[in-house]
Amino acid sequence: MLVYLVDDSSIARKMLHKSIASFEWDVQLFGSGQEILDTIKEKRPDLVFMDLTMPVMDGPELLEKIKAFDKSIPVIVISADKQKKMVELVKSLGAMDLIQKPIDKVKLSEFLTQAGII
Amino acid sequence: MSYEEFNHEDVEVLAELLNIGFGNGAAEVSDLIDKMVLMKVPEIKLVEADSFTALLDELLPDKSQSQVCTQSFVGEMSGTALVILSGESPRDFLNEVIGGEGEDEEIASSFLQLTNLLNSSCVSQIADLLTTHISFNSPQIAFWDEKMLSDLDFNSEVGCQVVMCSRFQLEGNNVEGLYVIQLSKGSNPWLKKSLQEFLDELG
Repeated sequence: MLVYLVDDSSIARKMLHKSIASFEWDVQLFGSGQEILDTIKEKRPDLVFMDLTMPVMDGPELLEKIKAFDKSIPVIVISADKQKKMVELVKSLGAMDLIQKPIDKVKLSEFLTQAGII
Repeated sequence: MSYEEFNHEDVEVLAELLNIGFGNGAAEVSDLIDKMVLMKVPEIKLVEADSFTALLDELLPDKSQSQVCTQSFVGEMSGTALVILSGESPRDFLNEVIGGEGEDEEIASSFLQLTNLLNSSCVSQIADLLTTHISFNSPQIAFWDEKMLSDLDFNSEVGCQVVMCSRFQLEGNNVEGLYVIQLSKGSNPWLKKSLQEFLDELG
């Protein structure tokens, strides 16, 4: 399974990458919204993990652009921002859900199972 | 301990810890007022201790009407957290909390509540993530003036200080602020070690 992960923080990318390492997916890491958009146009991923608070192109804008390109790409937002209104916003933009940082591996695994991803 | 001992990776970890901590605090505030708190990308500054007030000057070029609520914390990680609200933001924040105008005392009370919420969520979460515990002193409000600056005067300290900053805004109104955590230079040896352990855990 091809998984793209975008977060402007290299530490956050490492933290998430470690959380999903046991799934043995082909994970590609990106540091900005533009980088992942360019790659998605070349090769469609099976799943995208994305941060919300990023410079230049923030999470909601990136999510809109991914969905505008291909609505069927599953996107999970991973963010420190767990406000209910933010969860509602990202879901309304087409994200599967917003999972709060720091990632609880058990909860993530349960969510992925329920969503039929693993 | 000097600037050079905090490297790029340390700064990245601190930025992510602030991002997580402030996200936690923003959610608490959002629940209180039923509005979204718009968070900006966090910034980490390494400054000489006697340059802290100069850094605040740089971060807040127009602070004539600003009010600041400070709360110190002690432990292996010690320092001061500042919530700085510009212009009429303290009054506007109270309007959001109670749904109307209030007295000066109520404005101060809601500002203290905002500070307590942010600090108990954000600073505590950062301490948790770095596997330590802190205790808070009572928060205090001051207008942005010479007295407030002298209270924040760290000129007697020499050496590097870590300052963590995050700007925020409430959705749909004029409340704008800056959240700053100033870590005392005495925390540096512990902080450096904790950041290294955090990085080692990531592999």
